[in-house]
Amino acid sequence: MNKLISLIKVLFFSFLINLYMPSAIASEGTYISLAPAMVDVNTENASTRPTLIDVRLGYEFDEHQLELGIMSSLSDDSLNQLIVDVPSVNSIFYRYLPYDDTSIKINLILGVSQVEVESSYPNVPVSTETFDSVSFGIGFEEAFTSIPQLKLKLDILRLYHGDNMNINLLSLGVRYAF
Amino acid sequence: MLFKNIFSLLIINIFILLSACGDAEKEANLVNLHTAASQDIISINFPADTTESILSINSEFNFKLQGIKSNNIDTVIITNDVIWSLSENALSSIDQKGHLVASSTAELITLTVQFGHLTETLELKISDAKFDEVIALNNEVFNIDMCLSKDLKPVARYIDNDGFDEIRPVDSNIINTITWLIRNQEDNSTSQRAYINTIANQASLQSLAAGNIIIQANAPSVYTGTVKTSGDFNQSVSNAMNSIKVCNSNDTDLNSCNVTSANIEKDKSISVISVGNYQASDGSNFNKNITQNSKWGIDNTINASIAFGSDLQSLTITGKTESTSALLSVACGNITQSISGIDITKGVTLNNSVSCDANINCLDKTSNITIDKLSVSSFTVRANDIDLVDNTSQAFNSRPDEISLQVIANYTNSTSAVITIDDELIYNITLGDETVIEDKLNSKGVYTVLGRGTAKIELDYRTEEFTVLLEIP
Repeated sequence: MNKLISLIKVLFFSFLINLYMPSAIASEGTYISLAPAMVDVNTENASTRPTLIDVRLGYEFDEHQLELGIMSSLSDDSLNQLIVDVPSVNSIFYRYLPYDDTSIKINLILGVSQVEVESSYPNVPVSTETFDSVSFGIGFEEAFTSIPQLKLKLDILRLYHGDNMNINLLSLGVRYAF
Repeated sequence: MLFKNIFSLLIINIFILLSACGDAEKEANLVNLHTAASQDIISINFPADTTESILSINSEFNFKLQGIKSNNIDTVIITNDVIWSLSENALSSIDQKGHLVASSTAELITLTVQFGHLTETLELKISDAKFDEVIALNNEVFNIDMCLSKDLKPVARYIDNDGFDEIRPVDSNIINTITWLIRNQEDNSTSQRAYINTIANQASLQSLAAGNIIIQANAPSVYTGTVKTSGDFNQSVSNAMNSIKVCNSNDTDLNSCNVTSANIEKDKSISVISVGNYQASDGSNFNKNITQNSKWGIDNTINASIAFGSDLQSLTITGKTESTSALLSVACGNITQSISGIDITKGVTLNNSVSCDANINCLDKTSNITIDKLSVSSFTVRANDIDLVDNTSQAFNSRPDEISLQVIANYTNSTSAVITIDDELIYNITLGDETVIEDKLNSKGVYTVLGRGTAKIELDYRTEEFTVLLEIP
């Protein structure tokens, strides 16, 4: 698992090196996005939904985007006496835009994520678990007509796909392409 | 293009490899906490009153798990998401509802139950000690009011292979072999004040009237091979009842419900219950469905009949003769009417009214039942053998001299009857009267055709209406 994550990290940094290489493609460039996000820690019997601040730094060329996601806790969520927080999520995403001729851009998202989940419950010591997993999902994006570099974006992602538990992310924010 | 394909293949392979990776061990803590939190449970235990630590070989027992809520006060029996297990190599078995089937040989096992992150264990002895006799009616002294029920946990003496006594609740096999004998204390006569029935391995005392009774358990002793009758268990049935009333069986608010009269169509039924209002030992009042232990009567069985529902928790009243009435009566306690020949375990219904015997330890109530005529769900109407549709014009190919209507009422009990000349059926020509058609004298439902045009006849029967529209050429 860690080796695979390392492999993807190598691929990602290879693309980052390319950031500074001159290119003739018009849509090439770096971008940043910012969004409040809700994480759904979903088990068979119940779920909790802490919130996060979702910051992405990325590079786009043609119909491809590579981005680094850094998310940190905004607020925890409780289910009766159970308090669940997600202190951090670190992700690397590859986004593919299959349809470029529509006003709302659809992104297919694939990557890896490391999700930290903290929980506390009466008579149980506070515990923190880190979940590493492939992440996948779909994103939607539309540019503001007055500021074409600024786009409204919505990401729906499965950050962690487990045997008995899944962690999903819903993120709604803006992206600015430099 | 080649790069694109290789890149896509690489990504797909990584996805397949990684998506197969889940870490169940890491997930366990969060999953378990969510399970416990979903029911707000912070600790669990085996409730003392429904838990046994010694069970007979070949017997069955339903274990229950109690959860304590986060306020440390409220408790709840947990039924979902509980994992039951027995120690490894146990010959007994348990299912995921807590139903244990004991092995055929003696053994010591550990029962483990897990709910979320919480675990509780119980050391169990599966004993081959043999049942000898019942020594107590219940594991604790109790009070019971008339017309109420009380689940019993009879206690028996078992004797092991070394001749030592094992005193414990009667097991699931023995409970079904017990014949309960109940007598009135004052004269030793067979009592109609109470009976004990056993359903699903649970014995339950059902009281019908106040008074002192003696209960004995008659059961074959596995130890001696003879039938043994227990000693006398004295029990009193008290009267702390304030009132009795009749309610509909689907009433959920037993405090406010009350049926003093009801209407039933012929061949239709309604379901009712009797509700007793009692004073609890702490002075508060409570309501209880006491249908099973009440005595019911109907004063006219030609007009209406009564019968218990299969679980004895409701009474069904069926209308038999339309446009009549009957008086439903219910009583709890000593009634004037004799029930000596009645099997009280199947519920008491009499073909006459029941009433209290000088109001001593008895309360009664009546409800007037009116049996209405069957209502009609639809009509089948024909004009000169042509089927008509309600309020839809029917044209004749040629002008008939007469039009004869045939009217069939389709009743709500799925029966039908020709009602063409029934006095209750009203015909009314509302269009074309005396120009297109006119009533034929002394022939109900028959019309003489006078000329060309549209004729409209309204039919009215038991509030159901039908409009006949005819186009005469």
